[in-house]
Amino acid sequence: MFRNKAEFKSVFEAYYNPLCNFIKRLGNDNTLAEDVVQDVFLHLWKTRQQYNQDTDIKSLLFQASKHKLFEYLRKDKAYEKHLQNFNGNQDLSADEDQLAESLLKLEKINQSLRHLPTKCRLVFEMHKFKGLTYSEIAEINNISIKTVENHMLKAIKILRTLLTN
Amino acid sequence: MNIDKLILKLLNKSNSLEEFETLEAWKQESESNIALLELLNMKSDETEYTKYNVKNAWNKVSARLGFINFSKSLKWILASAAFIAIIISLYYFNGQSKSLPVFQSDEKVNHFVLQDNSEVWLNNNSLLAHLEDFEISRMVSLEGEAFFEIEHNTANPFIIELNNNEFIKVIGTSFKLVNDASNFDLILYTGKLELHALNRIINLEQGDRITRVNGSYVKLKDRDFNASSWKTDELLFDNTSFPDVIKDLENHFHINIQINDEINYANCSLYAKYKNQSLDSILEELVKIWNMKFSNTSEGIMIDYLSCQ
Repeated sequence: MFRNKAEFKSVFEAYYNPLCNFIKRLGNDNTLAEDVVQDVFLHLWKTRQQYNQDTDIKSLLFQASKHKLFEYLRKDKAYEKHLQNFNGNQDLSADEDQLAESLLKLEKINQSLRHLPTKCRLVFEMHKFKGLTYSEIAEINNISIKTVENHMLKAIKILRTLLTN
Repeated sequence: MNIDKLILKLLNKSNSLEEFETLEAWKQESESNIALLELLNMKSDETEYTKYNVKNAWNKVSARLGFINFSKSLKWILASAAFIAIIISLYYFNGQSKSLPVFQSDEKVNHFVLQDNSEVWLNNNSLLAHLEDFEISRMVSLEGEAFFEIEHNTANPFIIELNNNEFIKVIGTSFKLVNDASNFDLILYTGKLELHALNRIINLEQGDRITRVNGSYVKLKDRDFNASSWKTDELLFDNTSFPDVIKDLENHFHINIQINDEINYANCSLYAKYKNQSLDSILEELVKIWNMKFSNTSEGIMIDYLSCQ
């Protein structure tokens, strides 16, 4: 599956955030997420010989993370209450599958956002992620609504260039 | 028709029917166009997304898996040195093979004393790994930033392996090094050291600073007073310009400082020395010196206003 450490590292970097967010939402708990996902990667590297080149890494990672979370919840009494509303099915449900997809998209957009100028990124995030209106953003940043609009336009232009080829 | 303007209007649901149709046609042109519009159309409750510290997590995982970076040239040097090979084989035949120490820091600065009594202060999210048993060779790799005080030992020099078969050779000295995929910054405080790079050796003397630009190494003339402030907890400003003060504060306190576009900081500079002071108390002084106004934001701090004589 991974021919070398460099490949393993690039998979780790691409999936770490989406997986942690996935576990955070499934387990309703932020403290577990990183431990769970790191354990999944440790296990995956140690057992990499079992998988061939065609393994669907994406499904494997999300399923394994869900499985590992289940293991954590079962072991620790403190998490018993979460276990009750946890669907223990090994495969991902349609909802979970969709969640995984949208988290991967969010990772992509977040990666692209890093290429935006700081001001421009802040305005875009305030509008898109925090749901603030143009006039609210204008007031908070002490800039005109026209400037907010210009920042948004610039953000869209850069994102479009980065996300579509 | 400017497609970006149409997309912006779509986000605000203010397209005319005609514009909407133009956008639909553009959308159908490619899969990635569809994906982009889907992304931009996500509602704010769907876009909740925590950004974890991936670099830090990778350091932890690679340390637990015992990954180390071993460059080919250093391997070759080792392999060709017959006497070392013999020592290594004896070492393994004795069955004493053990894992080599790895030192790391998370959010805070960590101080370590190595086996040879050399001292290392690791800045946040950094990792130092031994590449050899110290009794055979003092060879390490660094991912991140560290301040070193190396014990003098001419017979067994201290070697920091860099990327691309390059390395730093140290006899006994103190220096600061930033080394990761994108940055390299080396400042020598006392003693001498050698940087072995691109088939040449660069000798550094006390006070020298060297950085990497487009893959080649450049010696810098100006001294950066606050490059090691995270270790000394001392900030020194000597007629330092406003943007440089902000940059140093950002680095020292690991925060994000935004500056209002309309600020005029042409005459703002600072003479000051802060030892063991909190960010709040420094900001309070800047408020007095520069007539500064600032506010706390979700991203960090926003400088709203300045007025310097």
